[in-house]
Amino acid sequence: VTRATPLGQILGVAQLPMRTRQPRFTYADLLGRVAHEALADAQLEAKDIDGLMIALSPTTLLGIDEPYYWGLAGLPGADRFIGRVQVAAASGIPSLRLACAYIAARRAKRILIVSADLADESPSLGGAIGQLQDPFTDRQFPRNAIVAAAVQMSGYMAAHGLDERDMAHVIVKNRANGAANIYAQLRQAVTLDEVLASPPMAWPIKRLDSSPRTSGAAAIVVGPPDQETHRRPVCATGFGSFVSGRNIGARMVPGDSSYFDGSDLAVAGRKAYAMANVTDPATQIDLAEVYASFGVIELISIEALGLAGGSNAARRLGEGAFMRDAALPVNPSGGATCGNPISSAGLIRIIEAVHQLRGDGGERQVKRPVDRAVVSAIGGTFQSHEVTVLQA
Amino acid sequence: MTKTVEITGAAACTSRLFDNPLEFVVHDIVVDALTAANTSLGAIDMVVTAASDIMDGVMVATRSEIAGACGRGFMNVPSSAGHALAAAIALIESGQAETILLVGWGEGSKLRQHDYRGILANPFYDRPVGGDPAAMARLQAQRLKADGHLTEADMEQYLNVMAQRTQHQAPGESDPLAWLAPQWCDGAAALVLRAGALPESRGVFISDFGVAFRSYCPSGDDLDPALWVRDAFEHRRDRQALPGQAPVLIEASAPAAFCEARAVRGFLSGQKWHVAEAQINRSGGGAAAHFGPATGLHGLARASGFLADFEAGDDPHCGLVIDLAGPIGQSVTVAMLESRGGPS
Repeated sequence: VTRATPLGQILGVAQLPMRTRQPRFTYADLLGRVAHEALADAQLEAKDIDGLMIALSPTTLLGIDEPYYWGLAGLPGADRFIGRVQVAAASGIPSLRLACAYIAARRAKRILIVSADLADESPSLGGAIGQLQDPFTDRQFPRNAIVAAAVQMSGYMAAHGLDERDMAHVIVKNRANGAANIYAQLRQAVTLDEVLASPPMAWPIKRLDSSPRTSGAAAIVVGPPDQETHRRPVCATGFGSFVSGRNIGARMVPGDSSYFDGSDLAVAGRKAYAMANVTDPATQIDLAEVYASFGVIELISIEALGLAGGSNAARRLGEGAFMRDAALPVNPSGGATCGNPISSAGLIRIIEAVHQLRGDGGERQVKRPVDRAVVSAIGGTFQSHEVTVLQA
Repeated sequence: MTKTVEITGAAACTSRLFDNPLEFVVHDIVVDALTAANTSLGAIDMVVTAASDIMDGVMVATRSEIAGACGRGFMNVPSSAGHALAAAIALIESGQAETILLVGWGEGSKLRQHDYRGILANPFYDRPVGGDPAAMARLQAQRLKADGHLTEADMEQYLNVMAQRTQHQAPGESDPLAWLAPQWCDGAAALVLRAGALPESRGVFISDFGVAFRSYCPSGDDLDPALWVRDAFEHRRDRQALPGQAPVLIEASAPAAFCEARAVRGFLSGQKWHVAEAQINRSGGGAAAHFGPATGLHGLARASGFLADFEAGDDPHCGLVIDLAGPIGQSVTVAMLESRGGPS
């Protein structure tokens, strides 16, 4: 691979253990804790930060309201708050992209990105997510994130001749990986039979196919690519963004297969790969962290990002591909199905990839060397797609 | 080597109440901006929006569609017009995008009957004692008045002048304290930004910007928006390079008339420039026609239009856009615009 131009260096990372509830912390507590842990990880002081950003998905999901006017007080860089980035669960990746842009444009030297969710305090997560749907074409029948994923999963199964057992492998893989992740909310491995026997939510989605409701927080510090660090440096080398935008009902038309084959995510992936000089991701990418709130989304993402080499991801997974000890591990952290604080979801995928690239992933560190990783995230119900390539 | 950013097209509108559904209004504004830029949506790399959760009640995916982002890169920076503008500039300067469509809107008319911005207040310290944005604005005004920075009569007159410029209905005698609160309306704005070539083009450029921020309850004496504007201005990237001449115009936006007036007047009092009163908020400013965090984009769009039409021969001339967003205007962006000698 021709070495790509580094766009920004991730100097420090931090996340809190994901939990259903975080009763000991207020929202501001969560932000403060991860902010200072990320600075400590970067071996920097508060005075070194000259830009602050918050990755924040729709606030109705979080049990808090527009917190940047009160939740950021006292954080490093608070007097240089440069904005909230809100692309739903994908917010972490465009935040990193914007931080890299600020630094490349010499408008900041080091930017702190924070995020947090207190999802357990939200009065109606389902009702809030329901806003994603078009009131005319979608909300007329019980539409929510689970039903949307069920449509996607049944379509994917039909298109590839797969059954529910084939689809359960990805959950078994993730839960086994999550058992080794000290930050994961769900740390119990499960079997295929347990996935298949879990209570149905909307066929073919069962409870264990779905991510849990999670509170958590994450932060990263971004700096110039050439800054000296005390450990293996990790830089972002490519970004890709692509919006389908249309609501699901409006996409069920001839010629638009993106909801089932991930072709929109593939466009974002190609943009990121082009910037990072990646021409054959299946062989040039060493590891992937993809945001997938349901198992089927991970499978579609693997294919869309070109990591399955044109093969079906579910079948490859059944053969042992994408496991932690495989040639190209996917979600060795356990992914969002082991913990899904929505605002922090994108940042957490980045953080997990950074640990693997640095080689300090602890019990969840993959055995093979990792020099290049791809990270993806999706905002809305497969509507906004964000991809970044990280390189050590 | 960073690139310069040119505004190639802009369009904006405000109304006491949109006659048409929001998505149609935004669509028309986007089309107008693209037409003014002599380009099409197909030439846009990325759409950046400033669309607030509390203003439009729609989710980000719907926002991206409203703004024309389908099939393109997208970034939503809803915290303020200035933040969205700064994001677009940084993306272009860093080479991550060549052409950006910057879009913002808000249905502020909904807040005229019930101002629900209380959710912006700190839930631990402020909300329990009624410290909502309206109360904070009164506290801020009281402090500025005590410090001799404003009088009630002056602020009432300021708002009436601005309301006439917006061509919206002036609050008049029915609400003598209207200068303390946003004059809510519906609004939308769109701008086409592209990587520019300063020596060749004669268009309007964004030559620099700076940001400053204060938390919801600024401590000590720091309630004066003029200080925040100075802080933002001093934190421009190229702050050593002062404008070659006085700005010929200023467009400012704040959530209340007193905040806007004080921010501009107090800032100017510390500069050596003189800007004619008539050239300050020719559009009427953002307090007299306020539609939420995206309001500043309306001022930016109008400022770029004024600058492009300015009669100044071949001499470069510059303008300032000052955006104060947030409950008491504490999220500040100052952008410097430069025009290279009239319409290209």
